[in-house]
Amino acid sequence: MTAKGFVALGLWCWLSLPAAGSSDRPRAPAPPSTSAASLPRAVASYRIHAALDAELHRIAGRASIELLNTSEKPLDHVFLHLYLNAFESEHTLFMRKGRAPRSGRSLRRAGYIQIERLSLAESGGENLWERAARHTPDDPDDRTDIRVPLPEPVAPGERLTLFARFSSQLPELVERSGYAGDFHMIGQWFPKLAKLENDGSFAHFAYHPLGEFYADFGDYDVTLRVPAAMRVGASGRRVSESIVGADKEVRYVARGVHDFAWSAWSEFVERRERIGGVEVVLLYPDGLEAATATTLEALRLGLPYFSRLYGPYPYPTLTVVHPPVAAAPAGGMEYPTLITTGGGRYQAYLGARTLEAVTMHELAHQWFYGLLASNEPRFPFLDEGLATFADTEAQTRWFGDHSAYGGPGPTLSLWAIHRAWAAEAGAAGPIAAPVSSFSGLNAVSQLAYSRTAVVLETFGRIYGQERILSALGRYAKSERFSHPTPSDLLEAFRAELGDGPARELERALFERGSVDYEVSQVASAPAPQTGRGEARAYVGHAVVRRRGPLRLPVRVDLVAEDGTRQSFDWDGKSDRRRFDYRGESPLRHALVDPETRLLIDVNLANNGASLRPASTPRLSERMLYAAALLLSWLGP
Amino acid sequence: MPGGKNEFRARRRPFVIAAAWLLKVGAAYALAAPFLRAVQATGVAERPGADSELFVPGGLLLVETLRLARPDLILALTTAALVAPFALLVAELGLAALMTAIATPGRLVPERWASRTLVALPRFIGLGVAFSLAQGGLAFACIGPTAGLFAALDGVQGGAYADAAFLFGILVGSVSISAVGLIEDLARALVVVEQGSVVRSIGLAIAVFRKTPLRLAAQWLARSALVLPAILLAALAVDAVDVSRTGAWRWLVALAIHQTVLLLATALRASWLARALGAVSSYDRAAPASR
Repeated sequence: MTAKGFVALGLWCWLSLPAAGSSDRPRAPAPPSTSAASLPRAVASYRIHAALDAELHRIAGRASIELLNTSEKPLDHVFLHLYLNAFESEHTLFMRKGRAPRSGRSLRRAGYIQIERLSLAESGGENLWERAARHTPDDPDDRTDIRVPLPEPVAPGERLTLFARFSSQLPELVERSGYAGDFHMIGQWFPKLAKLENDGSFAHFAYHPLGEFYADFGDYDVTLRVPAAMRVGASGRRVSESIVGADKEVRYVARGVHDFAWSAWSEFVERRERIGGVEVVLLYPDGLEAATATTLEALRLGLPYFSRLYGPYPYPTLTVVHPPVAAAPAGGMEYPTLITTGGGRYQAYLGARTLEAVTMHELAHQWFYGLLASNEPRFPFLDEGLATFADTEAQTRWFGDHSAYGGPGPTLSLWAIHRAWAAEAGAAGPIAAPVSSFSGLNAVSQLAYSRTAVVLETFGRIYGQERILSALGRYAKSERFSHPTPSDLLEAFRAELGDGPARELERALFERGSVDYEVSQVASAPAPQTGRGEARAYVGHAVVRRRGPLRLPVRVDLVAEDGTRQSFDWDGKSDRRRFDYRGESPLRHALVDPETRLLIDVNLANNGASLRPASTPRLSERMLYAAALLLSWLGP
Repeated sequence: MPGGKNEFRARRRPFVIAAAWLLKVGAAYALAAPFLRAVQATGVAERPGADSELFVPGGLLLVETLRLARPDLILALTTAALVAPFALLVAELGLAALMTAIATPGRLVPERWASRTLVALPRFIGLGVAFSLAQGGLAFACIGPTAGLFAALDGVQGGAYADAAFLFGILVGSVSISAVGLIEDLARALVVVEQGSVVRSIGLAIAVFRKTPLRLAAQWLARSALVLPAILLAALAVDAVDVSRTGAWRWLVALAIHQTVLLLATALRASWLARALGAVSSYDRAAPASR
């Protein structure tokens, strides 16, 4: 048996043991269908019993939390994330502006988590919670990041088991987690250990609305008690379900993950399908059959596609929750083996691909978040930017130029949207920055989401799409379960593309790297005739300037009056370059980047210059028609 | 048959219909021009493909151009707001001229036609203002309760009731706003036929509508409903023509398709207005309204 086999056997035994002193002992989990050897070592594992009071929207929970000290130092304290306290008042870090940034909703009914007891032994023993800090370090208004001193140090390689009794009051849904009527979306709901770093420190942080995830991998064994009429979807695999009086108890086991989320609603419709060996469970409101079919179609494409590019999806299940309209702010979120999607009932018929885009994006997070588990608050672009690139690349492969909108009228691609959105921010700040340095949701979505994706797409168009996918695949596969940093990403690109492009990528990500190619001059004149009978010739030139620190190769086309083109390749290393023309027809236009490979170019409009600008009949015709229709509609 | 004779006149006035269409196109150009200049200022014509590149599938340069033109487009909006009353006035003039021509028996004498049009125009404007306010008020009255009902029912039965409430709100709003528009056309017809005041025309128009609401609605709907599929078909046809590809004929075909739609819409409107004129001229003021 290999070392990994012993680890797997150890995990198996640990998970099979009931919690000490537990009155309702969970049964042993069913054998995993996925090879345990493909899963990470369990560092922070949780066994939780939770009962939902669906009328009070409150969860009573007991948890045993086991931490393996994988660091080089003894631990004399731990940090616990009490995420749900983000919704206890309007003064927390999450809610300081009085409204949640994504949904714009203000707090109507508060949510919070109370630790009733925290000890090293399940019953008896010192209540460590009495010695815990009262609030987040340096932030008296926030209680989402709590330091808990330990009575005895835990040596490297040793395990620590904490027992917690807690109560989680869900907020009326503001964003991500909470309730709306009978619907419950329950994420970030239990006391959760901060990520233990190699140097013995904890990567702890208050719950920030723009970045929240960073945790150790572990095994989750969670038993949930809900009213019998409710249907439940959760991270991991359901291993048992039983009726207990008026309630039902469902038990989920999720191995090799770093979080656990669930949803409960009495009106869920459930649909299941096996995609490439993965049991996909879709939970959605009645009436959303067409939208669910669209979601399923996206998963049928995305699961095998992402598995091929970024390494196999290693878990046996994937649960997709489509919240009802009243709970829309719970949509578009990622948790390990559980994603939430969203969108109205009619979008599937209108040509807009938002449902596919959201599903693809959250699915991509199963790799760029779920399996890599990088530090989101520190480097949100590693989660959001790479997931945005992955979903847009996949969606473009699927739908081509109508990846964002494919209904009547002009089609729209996701790249057009991301490019424009990223260009709005320009190089206002570096992409590779912590969430705290972004001014708000727009800034983080422009830079960490869209600009990252646009940078990678630009590199793909220049150096080859397959090489970029290969580099990203190398990063995703080699860094799986290892909490990578931006340098790991750069290393993968260096290995695939070489030092030069990797250096430019580093500039683009870390140093506000931008580029703007501009045709600054075009000239044309008849060539001096050197002899009789010589055919009439013309000479000319164009000057192209490069602004910004990025040095990316580009093509320049000189276009003559008769439509003939002369193309030049420029490495973009100098600030400007002159391109000379000689031909039988006068030079008319100069155009940089005719194939629009440089999506990151600051201004695409100055890529062309003409000695005789053309007219714009198509534009005039279309605008005239639009105005006439408007006049017919609003006028007499 | 009431209205039949007048509809026949509408068909015999193709040049008047064409003139109304041209007036509308002129008014539309006045509205579109500031936006057009804003987009042209981005330098789109500097590229070899010029404006054809704006129509390339995927919309990369279209979105980029709109992004770059945004400050100028906001300014253009201000200019367009100043131009809009003039454009509406021109469109109203076209409509008055069209209705006067349809209502004129025999040969159309330009001087007489112009003088009757100019007499009707101020009352048309008065009707336009009054009915726009009424339609705006109706829209406002429908949106509030519909939104409230939607929010209250959302989450019940997976949102199915909320959907039903939303569709019901849209339906009630559309029907009532269209009914008001229909009554406005009847009032216009009364202005042309009787040269009465705005208030009297509105009162009589309501009475005419109440007499045969379903028949009038059917006549109006039969013509108005044809415009929407024409617009959609035109969109599909122009998509197929694909003006992003080379060849000036492509945009000429697109122009022809779009202008045919506008001309068709004007002709259908003329046909309905002939019916409206017929309905008001045959209205028996002594007869009770139908139930």
